[in-house]
Amino acid sequence: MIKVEQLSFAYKPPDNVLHQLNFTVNRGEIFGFLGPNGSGKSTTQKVLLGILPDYQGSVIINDYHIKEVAGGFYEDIGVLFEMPYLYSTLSAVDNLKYFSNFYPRHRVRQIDELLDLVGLERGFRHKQVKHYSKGMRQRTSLARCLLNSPQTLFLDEPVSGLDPAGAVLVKQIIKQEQSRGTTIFLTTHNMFVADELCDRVAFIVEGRINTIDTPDKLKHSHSDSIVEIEYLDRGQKKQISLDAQDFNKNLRFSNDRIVSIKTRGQTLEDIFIKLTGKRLSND
Amino acid sequence: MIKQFLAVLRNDFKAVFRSKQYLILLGSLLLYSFYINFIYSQGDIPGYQVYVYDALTQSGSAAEITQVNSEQGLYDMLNMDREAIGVVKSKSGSKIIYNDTGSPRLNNLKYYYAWQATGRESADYNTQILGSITQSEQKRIEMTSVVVFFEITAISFLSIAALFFKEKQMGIIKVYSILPVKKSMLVLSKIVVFLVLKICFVLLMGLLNLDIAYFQQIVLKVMTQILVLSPLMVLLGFMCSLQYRNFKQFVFAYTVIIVAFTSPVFLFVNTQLNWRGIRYFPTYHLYNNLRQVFFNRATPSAGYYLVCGATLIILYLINLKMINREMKRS
Repeated sequence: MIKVEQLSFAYKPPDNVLHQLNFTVNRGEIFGFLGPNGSGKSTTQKVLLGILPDYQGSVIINDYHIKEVAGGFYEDIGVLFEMPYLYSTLSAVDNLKYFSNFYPRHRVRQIDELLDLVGLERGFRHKQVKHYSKGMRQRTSLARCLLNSPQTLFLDEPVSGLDPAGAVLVKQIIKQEQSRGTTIFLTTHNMFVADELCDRVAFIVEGRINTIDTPDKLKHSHSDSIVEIEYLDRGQKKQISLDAQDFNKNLRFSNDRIVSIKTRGQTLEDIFIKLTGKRLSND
Repeated sequence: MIKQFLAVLRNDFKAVFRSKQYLILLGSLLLYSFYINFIYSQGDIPGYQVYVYDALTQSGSAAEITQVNSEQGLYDMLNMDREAIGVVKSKSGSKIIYNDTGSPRLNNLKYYYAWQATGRESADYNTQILGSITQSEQKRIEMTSVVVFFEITAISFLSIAALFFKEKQMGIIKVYSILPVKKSMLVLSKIVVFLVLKICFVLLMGLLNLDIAYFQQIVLKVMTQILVLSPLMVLLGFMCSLQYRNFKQFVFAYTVIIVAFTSPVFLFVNTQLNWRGIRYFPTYHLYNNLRQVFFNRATPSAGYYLVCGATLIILYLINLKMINREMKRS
């Protein structure tokens, strides 16, 4: 369980980058932490991991006060970084063997089983990581973060760099871990992943939590449909998206001809934009 | 805890071997040994030409002369003060005794200094040189001490940085920030790895280039200096690699250190050039003490070890602080 109360943090006081954050992640819950780049996601995660101890407020994870974390705290958590950080001159098996030395033996999972779980091909397991694709490295990294059967998982963009099949597998593994009772703190700006996986999501913008709720409730409370119109303007294909209720008011725009009109429900990103006035990604 | 440390240690050893650094070490060992054995020690440096101006009308003795009660007492004094010169006057024959400097020029100077100091009253003094080494041996010792110092201050320094920048590039430091491992182990492990490598290197250098019996006499003293020097350079290298964001920046700092602090030391210790300012270079004291023990002369003072110990502790603490900063930054 993660309990955060009145969490504020400044790299250079008094310029806070996190402003009095409050949230609780229950045991066995997948909690999505959504925000654009520079919103304070990574700083929050670093505070939760005990890397930035000079914060104000209270952070308790698995009964550990984060200001006083010792080795025992790190035995209970697993962290997946956005980039797959591994010893590139070691094989996947050797990497996992090496990192397993830091955990109590009874907590360490079987390396072959883990690599089966993340779907790393047997032919590659004893080859140096430098010969792996990004997806294979990401799978190995996921295996590393599951190595110690963690009670709490911190996942940063867990499907980044994976092919569609790999992404599906990773999402399955995350769900599987949740079913084992693992608490999962997922940091992402991929709203589809958050929508699919998270029990609850928090929107963070400029170091402040804007909203915390379940994806379904958020979508339900902002249930207006979107009308998307594709049209040609002086030979160029363009697209506009309008709230269905504003459809009549905004229909006047210059066009050669309308190519298509379709409606869709609100996505988590639409709601994020509506609530915060910001986009989740720069794409 | 021990299991974790051994794991980090094993991994660092593997990293050094994977990075082929041992080949550089082995290559330099062979190259330097070849140079010492077949080129440097074979060169001939002529001794001083001695010109004597015998002005017998001048008399008096040097104020440095101290009387001792017995011949054994004189040897004891020479054992304690290895720069001192002893003079024995007896009916059976007079002799001038001193510890070998390793340099025939200096030996001659010592002889004539004693002769002058005792009032030049007899021209037929015998000479007894204690712990005598030949000119070729002296050259071997001199160059071995230079190579060992260069290997530790320049190559170790670069190797540790190369190793750490590689880890930094792979993002491993981020992984360590969330592992149940003490950050101090990361520093200690690298100190141990490089210390072991340097001890092996120095042992091989000694065995290949020095007289084995002579090397046996000095090996413990030399190793004591390596125990100081190697961790110092590893900690400095580690600190610089933590300070600089990329290897290019580090190489710039490395060049400045080598050109400004290490090279002048060789220049002013091993040649006739003299500059008082060199005494303010920490590298001067490190090299000079290493050189002294290679020549089996006076061992460094307790104050020297105290300063080195304090420096090691300070550098170690700075390193730990910088690792934490690097983890926060990454």
